[in-house]
Amino acid sequence: MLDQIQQYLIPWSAGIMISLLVTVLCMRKPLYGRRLLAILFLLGMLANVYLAWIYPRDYLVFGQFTFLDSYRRFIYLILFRQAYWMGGLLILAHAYLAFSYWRNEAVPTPAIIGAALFLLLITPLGFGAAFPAPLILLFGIFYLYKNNVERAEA
Amino acid sequence: MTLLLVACQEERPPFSYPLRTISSEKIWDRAFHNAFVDLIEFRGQLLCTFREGDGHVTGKKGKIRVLSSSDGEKWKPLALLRKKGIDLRNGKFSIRPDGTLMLTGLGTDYRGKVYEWFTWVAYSEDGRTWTPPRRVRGIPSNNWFYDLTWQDSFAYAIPMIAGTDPLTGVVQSRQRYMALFRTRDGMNYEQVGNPFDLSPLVGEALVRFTPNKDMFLLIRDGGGHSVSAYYGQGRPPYDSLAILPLDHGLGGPNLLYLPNETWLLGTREWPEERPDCLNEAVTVFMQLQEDGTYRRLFVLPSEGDTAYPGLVLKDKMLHIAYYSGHEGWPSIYYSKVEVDSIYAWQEIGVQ
Repeated sequence: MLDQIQQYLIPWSAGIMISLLVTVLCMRKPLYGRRLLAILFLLGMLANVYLAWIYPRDYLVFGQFTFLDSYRRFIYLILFRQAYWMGGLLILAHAYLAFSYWRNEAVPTPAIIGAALFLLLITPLGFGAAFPAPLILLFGIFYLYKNNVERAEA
Repeated sequence: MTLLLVACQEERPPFSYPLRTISSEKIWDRAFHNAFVDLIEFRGQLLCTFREGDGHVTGKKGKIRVLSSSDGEKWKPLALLRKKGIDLRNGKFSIRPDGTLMLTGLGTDYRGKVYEWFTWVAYSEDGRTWTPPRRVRGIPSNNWFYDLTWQDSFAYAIPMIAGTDPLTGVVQSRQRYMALFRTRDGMNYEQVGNPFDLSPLVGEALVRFTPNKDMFLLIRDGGGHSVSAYYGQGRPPYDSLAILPLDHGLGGPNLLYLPNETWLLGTREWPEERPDCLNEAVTVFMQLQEDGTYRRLFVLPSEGDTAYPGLVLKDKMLHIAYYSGHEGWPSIYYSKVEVDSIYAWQEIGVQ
């Protein structure tokens, strides 16, 4: 773990800083928070286009970071081998989330649930997901959901 | 011959081990390709080194990981060596006469094609903090030795040396030659005797010494799918060696001189070399005679991309670290065998 901290200190710190920024915006300025989340999902979509369809070997890098053996087995034995279509699903999901969070309307519940589920699923990646950034972002998503409910009740 | 192989494959269930099999425990599987292992005892600790990469040859640049254990049960990461733009592999431990721990290995400038091979060396006082891997000196360019063995105040190695294509700058990897080199410090080398007159596809080579300083050596031949090799012998000052063909291939071999004055060889064995005609390569251990004949003793749980065993003899136990892909992807395994059991199997022969 220490060697990972040394090697990936800058991207890891940047990931946490961005997640804090997004979460604070979701709490204080939900529109900007949503827009920033949309940009993050768009970047995630582009990253998965590269990973799934251009250089799937880079999915293997994430296997080194996870702290769950079963998750590593999933990445090495299933995701890597089926990268084309599993990555394709991730691309579609990211595109949907990016679109849903960018709009000027309240974020639809399926997009809230989908984003929360995605963040929970990537949490075991550890450094590969800039842990604890996914959990920090989860707070931001929760505030957007809360904001949705309050607006509906008003 | 092919028909016979096919027939044998159909008659027997795949992935069973008719030879006696020694159990092993997985100790590391973090990277997608964990391979090319060595083991040493240093200041009472077992140190294990191997390469972490995302493929056997190509892909991201390989790094050299060092693990430590006091009992062989629990292993903890100790160090990670890397060199920018260079694929590091085949780390091999040795201890200099002054007690300094050394790692030597192969560095490759791989950019779709191989633009340079070089042997690197790194030093450590404690196994945790290492000098950067640096090119060794005194051996012609595009050299790589697989193994380094100390004998008195010198260490000996047999590098494979290749030229460079003048038009492309690519290593002429199928035109190799070999010679014996020696060093006093692990960094600066000098040639001993003349180059060997062997096949242009020679590869991994190692030298070992008996207590009376006789040299015994093994050389892999035939490239990636090696089903031929050489063995040889020499006496001090080792400037004239007798080298003969060995009727068995080698893949990541290691050789240990046991206290009962026999040689124990651990290597990859390809399916067509195996008496049981199974369809996967395994890591096998055999008693090797000085006349080049051999007798299989046991196998380790292994399949496919496997071998490169590191061996340590300690307290009448043979400690083995090796890699194998039989549980998903190439991972590092540890095993130990009582030396007395090996002696008994030498008497009994193949189970």
